[in-house]
Amino acid sequence: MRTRVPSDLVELYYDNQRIHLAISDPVPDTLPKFHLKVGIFFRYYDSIIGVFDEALQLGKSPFYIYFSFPITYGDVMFSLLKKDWIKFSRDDLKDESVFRGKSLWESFLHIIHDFSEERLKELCQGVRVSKIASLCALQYFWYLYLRICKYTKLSYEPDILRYMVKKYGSFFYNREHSYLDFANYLVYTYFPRSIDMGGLLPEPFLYTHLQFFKEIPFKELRLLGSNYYHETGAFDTVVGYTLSPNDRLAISYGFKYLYF
Amino acid sequence: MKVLAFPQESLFREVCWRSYISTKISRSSKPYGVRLEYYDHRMLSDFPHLIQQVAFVMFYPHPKDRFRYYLFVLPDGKKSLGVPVHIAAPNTFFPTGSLVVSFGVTGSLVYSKTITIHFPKAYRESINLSGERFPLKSLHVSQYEDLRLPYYTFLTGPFNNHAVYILQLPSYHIFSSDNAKITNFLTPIEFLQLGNRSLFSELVARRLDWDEYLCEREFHLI
Repeated sequence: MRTRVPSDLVELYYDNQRIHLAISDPVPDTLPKFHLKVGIFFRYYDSIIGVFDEALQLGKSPFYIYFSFPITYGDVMFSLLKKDWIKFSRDDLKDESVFRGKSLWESFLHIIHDFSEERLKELCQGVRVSKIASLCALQYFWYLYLRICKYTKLSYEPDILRYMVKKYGSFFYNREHSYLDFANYLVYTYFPRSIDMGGLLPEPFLYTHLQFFKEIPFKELRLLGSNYYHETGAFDTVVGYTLSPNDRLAISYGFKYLYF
Repeated sequence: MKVLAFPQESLFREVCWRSYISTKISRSSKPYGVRLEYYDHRMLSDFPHLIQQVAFVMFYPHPKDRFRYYLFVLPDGKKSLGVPVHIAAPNTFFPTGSLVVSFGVTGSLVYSKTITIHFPKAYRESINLSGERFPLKSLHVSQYEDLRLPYYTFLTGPFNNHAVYILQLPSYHIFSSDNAKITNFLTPIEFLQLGNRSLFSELVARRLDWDEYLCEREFHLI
């Protein structure tokens, strides 16, 4: 049996009408298995905000209509340590090692330096998959914001998120849904409120930095998530790349959460 | 067939929905009534700006077991966890493959009072996992308030112009308890392990509320 390492994708499996998080024991081959992913939309009133990679330097895609991150055991440990606290400070903006990694666990190795299955098991004991996902999403959301601040020179305002977490207990309170995507990831998708997005990414900044951001109205977004637009390649003319089937699924499943 | 559809703008913000539906309420002659717009389905098929309202009707074996659903094996061999039907006008002449709904209204929420499902031909000719034929042509449920507009579950279709509502009914509407064999019902995860799935069913199975599905069970680690 191989010991799990921080870079391993989280493994979930279904047995006896339950979803289990596999940590220390091998998962029988006969059982349905999934990985875990979190997705985040930047909702902005009647639109979403798409972000060009120049603002993030993640190198995964030229443009992000929404953000999705496969969750690793390292991400889980990072997110469960001190739970709801935002672990990024203004000093992190100056620390190049934080931006060298493309995921939480590799950017903050110093926080999860004592990774072990026993420690992970202890942290996960009694915590639901949905809670693990929301804690990872919160940290990824903040990590995206930190990267945007770094590469666009936007002012970093951690107090807004701290206030929201304190007020509601979760930044994404009641603004999430889950589904199983075509690649067998159990995806938890989150929709921060427009008012909070407006506090973090002020409107004047967005409209004076169009090289980094593109506003996509809901009317357009709905069609961009459709098969027709995919088949005609119309999306290419809008943002310069084709959406994958899982991107389109995220829009079709998530659309109603953007405005209700 | 005339089917229920809403202009896309009415679904973009709650305030737009309230404004749209208030005009439909004022057109009704009955108290707590609403007169919704139904459009010719042939006209709508290539028209992306009107969002058609579609129901996916699923049957669970027992009120205490709502996580398994009756599996339809269609004549072409495709497997489906439920029946996709358009919400159609009450006076539809040839209603096969439709759901006819009597609506009530509270504030801006439009809800079903009674529903009649007219099963599509392929579903009437379907069999279950025991090889038995589906017994009904149509089904009337006189008290059913769980269809709530505009709170659909997801969008689908060539232009994402179909809003899908998932309706779940106990199987005693179809079978006597003796005939509702549990082996004819599958969980969404079991369904997703099968081959030759209907695409619509697959979209529903992937989107069923996993949190609700999982939260009822104790979370375990190994």
